[in-house]
Amino acid sequence: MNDRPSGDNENKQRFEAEALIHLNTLHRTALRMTKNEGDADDLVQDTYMKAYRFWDKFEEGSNCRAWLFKIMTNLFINDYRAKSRSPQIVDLEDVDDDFLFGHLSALGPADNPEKHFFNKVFDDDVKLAIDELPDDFKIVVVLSFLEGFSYQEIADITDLQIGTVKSRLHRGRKLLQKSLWKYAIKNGFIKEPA
Amino acid sequence: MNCEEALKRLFEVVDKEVTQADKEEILEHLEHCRHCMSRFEFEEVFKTFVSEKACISCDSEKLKNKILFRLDQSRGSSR
Repeated sequence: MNDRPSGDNENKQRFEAEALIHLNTLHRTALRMTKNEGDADDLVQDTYMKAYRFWDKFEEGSNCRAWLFKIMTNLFINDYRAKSRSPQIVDLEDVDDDFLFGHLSALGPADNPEKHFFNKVFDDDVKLAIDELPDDFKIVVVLSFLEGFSYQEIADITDLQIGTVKSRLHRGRKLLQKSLWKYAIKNGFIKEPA
Repeated sequence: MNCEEALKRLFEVVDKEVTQADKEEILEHLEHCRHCMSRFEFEEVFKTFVSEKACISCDSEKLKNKILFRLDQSRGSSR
């Protein structure tokens, strides 16, 4: 296929320059969404294949990264999650808004428990805490915390109302803080008050 | 602005979703309220902490090659 028409080549070059440069951020989000490398690989590949198929629908000059995340999030929700649906244990016990701050402050200011906490908690614990979030919360947390999308962008990507994005992000934050507090106690970084 | 009003906007501030005018009003409260100030700082540090710990860049080189290969294939088959 060395005699590809030049239009085809041009298209490919434009796709590589505008879409493929976002591969790394899609990849890391796919890893958090699917929780394993094989599925993350497949999800990102399928995302790019779909994006390429609909490349003529992409409005030049609009936000390509957000467009790719929208494709990937939809694929994840409709295909991957349905396929590998393990029962999601939703933590129904509500916690206070200031869960982690309150617990750390209660340990007293003497040895700066906040600093201690942030210095000690492992990268893997943070990843695990995100991985364990129910998907609905995880998606918005990852899009906001890791990818820095705004509420409006997340609403566009997920097809949710902006109010739903905010409340899921709020709940996701609390669940994340609760898990990290549990890990910190389990690993002995923090001594649970008697 | 009182503490309740400030805390209601807490996550919008952390997520940079407030207007400059709102932010200034909230910051004015924080200047006079140590408790709210430390809470706001904590949630900001928490967000940065989570994003930095979870954002370890992954090696996407192999994946890139697979995608390029599949793109080439799909173009080949569509002709």
